[in-house]
Amino acid sequence: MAIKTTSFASGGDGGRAVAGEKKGFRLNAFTGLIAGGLGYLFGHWMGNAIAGGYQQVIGSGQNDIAILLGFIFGTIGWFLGLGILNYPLKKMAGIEPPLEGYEFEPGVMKYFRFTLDNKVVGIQYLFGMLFYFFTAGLLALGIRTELLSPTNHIWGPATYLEIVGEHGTMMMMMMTSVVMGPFGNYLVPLMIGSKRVAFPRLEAAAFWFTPAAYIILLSALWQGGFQSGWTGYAPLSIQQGVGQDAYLFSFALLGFSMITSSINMTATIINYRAPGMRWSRLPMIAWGMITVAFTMLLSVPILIDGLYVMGLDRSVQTAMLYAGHGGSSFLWENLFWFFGHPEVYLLALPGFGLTMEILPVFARKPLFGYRTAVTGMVGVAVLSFFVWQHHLFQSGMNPDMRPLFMLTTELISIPTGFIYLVGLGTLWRARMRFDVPMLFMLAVFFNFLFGGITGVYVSDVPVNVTVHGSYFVMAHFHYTIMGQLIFAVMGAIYYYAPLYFGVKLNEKWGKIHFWTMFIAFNSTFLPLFALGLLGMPRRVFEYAARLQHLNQWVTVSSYVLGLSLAFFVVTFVWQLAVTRPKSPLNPWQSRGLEWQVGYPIPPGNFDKIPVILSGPYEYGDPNALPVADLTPAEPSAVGVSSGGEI
Amino acid sequence: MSNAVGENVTVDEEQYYHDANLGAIWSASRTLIAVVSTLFGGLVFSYFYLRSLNSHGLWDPNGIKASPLLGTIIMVFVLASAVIIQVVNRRLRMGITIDWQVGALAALLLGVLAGAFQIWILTRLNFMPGSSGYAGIYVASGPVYALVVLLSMYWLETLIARSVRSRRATAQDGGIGVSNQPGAENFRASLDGFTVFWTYFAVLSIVIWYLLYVL
Amino acid sequence: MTTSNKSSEFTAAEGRSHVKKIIGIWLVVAIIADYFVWFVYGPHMPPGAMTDQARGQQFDIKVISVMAIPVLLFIWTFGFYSIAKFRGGKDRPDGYYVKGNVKTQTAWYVITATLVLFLAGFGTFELIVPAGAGGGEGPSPIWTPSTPVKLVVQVIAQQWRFTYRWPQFGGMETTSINLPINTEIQFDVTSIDVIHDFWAYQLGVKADANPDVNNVAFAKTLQYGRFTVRCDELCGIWHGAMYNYGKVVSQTQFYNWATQMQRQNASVTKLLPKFALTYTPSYTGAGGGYYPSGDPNGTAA
Repeated sequence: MAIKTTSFASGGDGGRAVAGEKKGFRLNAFTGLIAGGLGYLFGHWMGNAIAGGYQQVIGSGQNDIAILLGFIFGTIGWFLGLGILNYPLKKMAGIEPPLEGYEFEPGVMKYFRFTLDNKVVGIQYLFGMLFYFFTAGLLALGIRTELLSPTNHIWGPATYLEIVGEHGTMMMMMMTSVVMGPFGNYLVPLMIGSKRVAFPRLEAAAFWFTPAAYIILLSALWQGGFQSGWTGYAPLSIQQGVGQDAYLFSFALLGFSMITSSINMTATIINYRAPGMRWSRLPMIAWGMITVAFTMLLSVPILIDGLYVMGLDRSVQTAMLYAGHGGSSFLWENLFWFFGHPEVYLLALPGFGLTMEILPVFARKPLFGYRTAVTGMVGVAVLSFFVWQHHLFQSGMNPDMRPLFMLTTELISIPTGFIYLVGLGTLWRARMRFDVPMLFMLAVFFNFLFGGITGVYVSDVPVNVTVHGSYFVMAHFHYTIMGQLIFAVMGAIYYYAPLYFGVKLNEKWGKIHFWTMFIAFNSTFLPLFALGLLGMPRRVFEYAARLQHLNQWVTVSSYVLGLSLAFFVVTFVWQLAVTRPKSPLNPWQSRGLEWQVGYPIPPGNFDKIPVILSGPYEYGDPNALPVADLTPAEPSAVGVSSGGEI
Repeated sequence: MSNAVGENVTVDEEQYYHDANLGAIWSASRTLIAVVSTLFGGLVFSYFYLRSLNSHGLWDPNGIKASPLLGTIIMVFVLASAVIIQVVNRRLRMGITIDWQVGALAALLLGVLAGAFQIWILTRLNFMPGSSGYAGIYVASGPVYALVVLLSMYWLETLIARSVRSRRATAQDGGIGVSNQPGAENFRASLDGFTVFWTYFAVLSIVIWYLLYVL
Repeated sequence: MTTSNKSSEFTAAEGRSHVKKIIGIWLVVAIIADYFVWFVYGPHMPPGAMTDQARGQQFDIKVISVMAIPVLLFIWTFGFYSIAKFRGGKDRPDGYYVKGNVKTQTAWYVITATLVLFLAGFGTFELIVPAGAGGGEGPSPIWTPSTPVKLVVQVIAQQWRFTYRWPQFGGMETTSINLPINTEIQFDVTSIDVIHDFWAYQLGVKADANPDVNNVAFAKTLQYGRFTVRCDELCGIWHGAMYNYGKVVSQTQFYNWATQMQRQNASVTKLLPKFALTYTPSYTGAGGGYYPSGDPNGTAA
């Protein structure tokens, strides 16, 4: 190995833990908040100084430039205050600082700092995402409460739409990272046998975008919110107050988070696989992550473009979304849905990744049709770029293209069907164990089936005439996202708690949580299909009196669903913080490489680079090699049999 | 990397992660090209979309463009910067570090000037941002273009600073362009990534120049 | 991996017997379900049969349902059968070691692809033949009704109400809508502020109301009755309250109503802007005012 000359290492190569040299005070989320607040004030002042005299600002009393500059400088301050910008600034002086934060550090402060260990980032994401999810979930209960009665109102119509917009936007932007954040970052290096990720700083920075986006998005509520929903159709979104700026800025921040996270994820999976980790042995979560990462990289920039265009129209008075001055409101619909449709698949694919990862463990069988599963995920990802106009079937835009988009949309059912084939094939003559994670995975298939089959209705243009924009569509995508993704995530939390925390969550409580959540979820969303078919549009606070009983049923079910999730939160926190029921190592007898390293996982994941000997799903094969050799002899050559091709 | 696995494997950890790191820089710089293409792709789509719709005949009713002279200067500067980088990279590989440093500084200067001119144009436009579809697209593209140029120049600046700082460390084995120290290899991987990206961006600049100032 | 299993445990004969049972249960359940869907629920499926287009959509929902429900039931049957039969436990050996089956996989690909392609073809046919199936077809529809259009109704959406203009009745504008029976109707849908959506539920008509765009939809009325009009695209605070009702009445009743309205409204009609396919949002109109600064081209007013 070449000589390491002073101050000329290649920047943390070797993946070895480099002990943090600084002790004592270090920058953290609280300094970040202070610096962010100061940055916001500075930006706001600057915006007023620049644009305070503009005619439209005086006329409307609304200075979008000040708000947007406040957000921009606030975010820069937040990053400065967290110390994330130290590295890029040092690089300007030609210094390559070593990686810090791989040292084992007790206590919780590391979770409030810019920490580079992929496992710390995973935990940060896990709690962050759960927090965002429950915030948005509470907003959903606010929506349902309003809909108890068609005529008596809890909220004013403006507040109601603010809640609807916050719920939708929070869920859709944050949940894009609900798998890649907590599970991708944590597990992928472990699964591919790597001691590190490719770009730990990018990975960690991706997380720190999310609290900023969360705060900014929620801040809209103090500024009158935005009444344009998560879709933000122009010109309504141009008409809105400054709450819309919070929408567009926070969504764009999350876009940057997705891009940074994805660049790291693709580079890690492509380059950091351990010897023997062929593409044909790559675990399903890693396949889910890499397909999602590529989908994000090619779709999120378009969203950022769209939001940027909206921001310019709102602040510097361009008119790209306004036909009266040479723009078009269709432009936003195109830009938005060109991202927006891949987005729903980048919510769904990681859920399938988790499901197909966990299913074989509890079925005690190999994954059926590995290649089919991979083809299914890649196929969905590719096709997702060619379907965006199905959201616009009734818009009057390119009506002659509708048969084409109907075809592409229905074609997506083929690769999605592959995943069902894989699921059913894996259950075939299995020896299933019905632990809590397995129940959630089976529920994923049950729930998504409704989402998938109603997708065929929605994609059929004549049927779409009736169901577009109705509760039918709303139920459809809640089945695909909540019924699939959130159930998969919940199952994965039960499944991975022993690995993450050394804690095996109580089976009985888990089953209570599962059954209440499963029944309440279906009881909440199944009637919504009927409501949609009976003529109830989305995002309304008044509806036909004949639909009241169904709506009341749904609202009460949603409360049960909320209670079930609250039960999860309480038992989860209780077991993590108080009782800590100790888990045996690898309690599910999984073959996954991530389970072979023991608990607690050492800071560098592995002592030595493991050599992968066989695929992760060889259950039921008495002759299967162990998944990896964790202590390959060194430095002499190790004989590695090339293993059976899968 | 794993695809090199044969019957016998020796795992030299330092080397393994060093190689993986070089591979990651390769992947990431190419991924960046995809991201930047998509970013400008959205704007180019908007350009053609509004141009073809021509709502109320207001795509560009009077044919007013932002200063074609400055636009051409920007494009030429970026192009020249990319060409210089290509040329001096060869010198670097021959071990003539100083030529690369001077050339890269020139390229940096050209890039920064291009970014600065782009911002300058935006401060003295001869049309209102909302006066036409073209005006909107121009006002949208300008800052994105300037931002990407300046961030690329940040990347180049870090490379120059690194080559200067490593002068002594690599002096014995022929300079940073030929040294086989891991730091030097890492530097060259980053430089290769930058060169590919910047060359691609120069080509993209011609397209953008044609759309915004000529077509 | 806890315990090994002998392949003899999983005989082919046993497998075939499972397959037979699953297929048998599925066939019985699927046939019963399809019977109910087609004959019992089918005639009551939304959106009813008030227009040719609504009837077409109802037919589509029925056809998709009888195809989708067997798929759903197959997965249910297979899933529940597996859950019941293929159980294991910590002390039991692992399941059947199989990683794929060419025949099954090929059959699955072929069947799903066939279903999907059939549905895409069917959907296209059902879109083109009944003149766009009641959906918005943009400013120059390419799929038009086979019989000539008798009545043109312009739907103007604004925050937060619908008004209707009748070019064949002197360009009058009404706040209510009545339609004659057995008539081929053309809806010209537009907006004067933000994007709305004209959804006449029982008519099976839905078209986005975009500012500066004329979105055309067709419907041929077949039944008398009341229909609901709702805005179906989020359009701001009072979106939820943006609805009204219309009626399909006899042709004579409609003619009497329309001429009476024309007389009543004559004094107002002459103050309205000339009938046009779109109306540019003005600074003073509802929803206007978001570009309050000087208009550089003088065309937006």
